[in-house]
Amino acid sequence: MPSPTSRMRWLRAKLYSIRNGTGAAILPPNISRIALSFNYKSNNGHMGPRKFFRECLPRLKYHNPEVDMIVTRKPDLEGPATLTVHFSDIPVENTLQLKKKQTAPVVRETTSTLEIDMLNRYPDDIMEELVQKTSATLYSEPPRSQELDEEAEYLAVKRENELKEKYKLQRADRRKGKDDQLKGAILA
Amino acid sequence: MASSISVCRACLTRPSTLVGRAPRLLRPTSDVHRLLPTTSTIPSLILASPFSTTPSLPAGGGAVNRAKVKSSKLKQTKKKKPKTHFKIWNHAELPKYALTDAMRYIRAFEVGNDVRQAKYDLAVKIYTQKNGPSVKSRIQLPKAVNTDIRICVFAQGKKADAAREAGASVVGTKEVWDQIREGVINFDRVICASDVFQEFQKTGLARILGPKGLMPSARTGTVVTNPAAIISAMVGAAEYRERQGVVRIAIGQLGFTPDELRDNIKEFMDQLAKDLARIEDFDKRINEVVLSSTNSPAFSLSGEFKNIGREEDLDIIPEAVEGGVAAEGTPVAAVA
Repeated sequence: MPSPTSRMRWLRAKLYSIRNGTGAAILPPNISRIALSFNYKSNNGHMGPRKFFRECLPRLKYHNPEVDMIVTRKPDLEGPATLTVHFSDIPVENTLQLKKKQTAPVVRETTSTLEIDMLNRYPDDIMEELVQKTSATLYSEPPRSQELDEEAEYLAVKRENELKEKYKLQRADRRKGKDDQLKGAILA
Repeated sequence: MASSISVCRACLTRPSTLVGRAPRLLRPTSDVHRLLPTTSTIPSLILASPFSTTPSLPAGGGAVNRAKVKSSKLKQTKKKKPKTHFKIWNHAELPKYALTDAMRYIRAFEVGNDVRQAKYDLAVKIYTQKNGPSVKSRIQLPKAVNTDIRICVFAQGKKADAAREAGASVVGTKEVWDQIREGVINFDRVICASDVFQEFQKTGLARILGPKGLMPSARTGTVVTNPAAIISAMVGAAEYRERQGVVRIAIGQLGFTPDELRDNIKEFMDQLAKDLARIEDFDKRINEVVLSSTNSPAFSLSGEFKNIGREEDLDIIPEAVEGGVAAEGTPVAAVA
């Protein structure tokens, strides 16, 4: 396992980028499923859909954990690339926070669908249409409160001072060690 | 000349005695003197004899060499002690995540992947010595992760038939060993009947099966008199072992609910704690519990099921730490 510090720095950046950016939107509760269908290869305008899948879909999934997201990829070189939104009447049940045991997952039947053509388009463009047609609310992280800012600053300064002290001691130790070694070498 | 420099100020030796034998020692190129503050005596010495009639010593000869040997001996004695334990880190101040939070992130990173193929992995860092006994065991999780394990049985006669009925995919003795020798290994577990074990040991297949962790042995319970009996227990079971101070295990499929995953983690941690306690004379403690999956970053678990505070708060004030402060096997005991 790598050291926790390096792991955490990397992780923090990763998590920030999955909470924010294109695709960070909260969908209305009547959406039950989003299905993508496009090719493995990027020929003939399938690059945009792939980028949408890689960049935007994880963010959508993070903000809508209850919505099923299904990706079907075909080995063809041509053909359509579509995003289908399934609507359902049954309201969302928050299964992640549900306490009681479920015997079987609730099947939410689709009442209507909405199709978005993804061929030859950029991910931002696709996202914009999705947000517009489903009237989703965009998410952006609230800025850090001042208290937390101050706390962070205080901690940073504290850590810096601690390190300074530590390095000073280390330097002194090293110098002392070198002197000792020298004296030993000569007297021996 | 000698009167002006009776004693070298830095090293307290008499350079006059050295000059005759080894003038090289006093040049600042030698190891010892390069480190010293330059005294006025040394350069004057060198200037005084720009050339000499005495044959110059070959590089690394005589006195210089002796000095080097001494210094190298000195270095050897100051060598660091070899590390007896695997390194552990202090992670008390770092953010930890509640199970549901970690799962929400992992599900987001794994979006679009097959729910049955991607798995939740649990890594448990252990404070332990590098040598000595290691943990190796098998567990029956409340909800099995791998349901399609292929089992190979070395057995003859009636036992072979019974094993085949119980669900083993490869059964036999000599023809199977020949296959293995050719590199055909299409199974994940190996069981050996005790009456053919001696014969099997003579084949020298340990060299092939050993590195893959497939070698049957009585200690791990894979050499038995009746193989058919333990096959059913093995199908739903997961094996785990300690490697490099970490125990890793696939703890759930991606489609599991938080409750199912929590039960699995709890069961596993309980058994692991017992395993660690069983090893006597060696200090083994759980240091950290980390959840990750096939394509996601790893999350250090706090031991809580659900996080109460805001996630953003964790970035600065790790509140969750209280429940999961390292060391003794507390982390997952709090999951309830």
